Amino acid sequence: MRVTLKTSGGIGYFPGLAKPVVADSDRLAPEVSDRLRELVEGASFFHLPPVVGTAPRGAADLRTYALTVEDGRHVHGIAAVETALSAPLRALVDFVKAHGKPEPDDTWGPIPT
Amino acid sequence: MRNADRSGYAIHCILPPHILRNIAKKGTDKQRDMALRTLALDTTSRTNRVTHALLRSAGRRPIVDVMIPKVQRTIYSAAEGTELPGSVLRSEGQGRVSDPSVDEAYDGLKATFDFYAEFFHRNSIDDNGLHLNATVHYDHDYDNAFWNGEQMIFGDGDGTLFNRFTIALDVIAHELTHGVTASEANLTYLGQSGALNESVSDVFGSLVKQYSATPRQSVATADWSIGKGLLKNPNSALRSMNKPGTAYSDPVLGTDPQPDHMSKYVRTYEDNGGVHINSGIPNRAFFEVASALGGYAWERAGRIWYGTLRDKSLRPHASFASFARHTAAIAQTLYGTGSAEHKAVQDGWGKVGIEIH
Repeated sequence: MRVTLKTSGGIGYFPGLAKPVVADSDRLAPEVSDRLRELVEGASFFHLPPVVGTAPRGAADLRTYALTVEDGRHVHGIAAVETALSAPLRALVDFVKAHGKPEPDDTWGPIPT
Repeated sequence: MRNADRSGYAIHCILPPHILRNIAKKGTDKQRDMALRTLALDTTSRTNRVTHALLRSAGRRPIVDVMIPKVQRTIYSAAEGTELPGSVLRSEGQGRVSDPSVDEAYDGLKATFDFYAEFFHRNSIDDNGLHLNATVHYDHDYDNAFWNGEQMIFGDGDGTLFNRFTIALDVIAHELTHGVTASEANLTYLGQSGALNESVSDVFGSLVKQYSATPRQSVATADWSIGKGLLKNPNSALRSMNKPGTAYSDPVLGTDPQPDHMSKYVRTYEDNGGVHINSGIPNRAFFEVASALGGYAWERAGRIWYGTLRDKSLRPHASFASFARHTAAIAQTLYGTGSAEHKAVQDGWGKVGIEIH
């Protein structure tokens, strides 16, 4: 299982903090890998809609999390506003932040014209 | 007449309108400005009293006294959780509680409220007496502060990259100004209008800091940085308004990506289309206008930007060019075509690559 977390938004844009973070069960200790799977299942991740919550009217500097889980042939991605995170989803986000490794970010840079 | 509770409003309790009108005609520029502002308040007061009397006669209580804006604050703690608003730690009028986050939020809300009230006669964030709520100690090691459309939320920072988010007054004022923008131009939080939304918050965040400093800071003495003290690195800040792109350079955070000119505009899907990135361009434009005019930045440049934000013809999806044209139009209205202020606005935008025709 491979879980990718990309954080955007917040009070400023920091290129170093915007890089995706990946928690890959192949590279984690067995007990950590088991916990990752528990959290994905606990959040019912594959049953979540692609967009979880929207920013309230007039809100600013909120964070948004883009989470993608790849598990064998199953791939699912969501975008969630931080204030709309359920407790299980927040636990998954926190876990990936704590145990994931930064990956090169190929989304930064000019949009092709 | 009801007694004013702040010195900034005391004059209209003492001087009758005919004397104020005389000062407005014959006084110095400063006396004239004070007299005109006081007369405007006085007129509002009379209208207010009539309105209140009518409401009382109809058996209804006035919702808000627009005459003398009076801050109402409540500071909550989320106790490192995410439930909002949390438990009350300090309410309006209560003394300090020896929790720096609580006391800084409490003081920062008032400093921001007072700036808008004293200089723009604005009655709180929504100009309708909004009670100001803030929650501190949000989440665990939380590296952010935000405005959720109703209140402010502050994290404690992780202690490695960031300090507590109440530490910088301009950050508090930045967040509250998002509330002002939402109730005025309501600039869409995406692309150029989103970068303008961010820039307006930086502009007034900085002005609140300059206005609240002792002594007050002029264009020349202000540091024009946003969030000084927030980053653990004491030489860094979130953003630089006079030199965008130079606020920080850090192995973990990366290098400040803000452009200082339209030729360096960043087209990106990141950050809601670069709202915290391209805001460097209008930020620098404001700095250039304020620098050209000198003195206190809120007095003329700030007044022009505030007038623009309140201009009903400014669209929520405004581009940089559209916003720039509106600032020039407001400068013309306030100070006259070809005035120093009008020219400073045209030149300021020109320096960041936006020509106003």
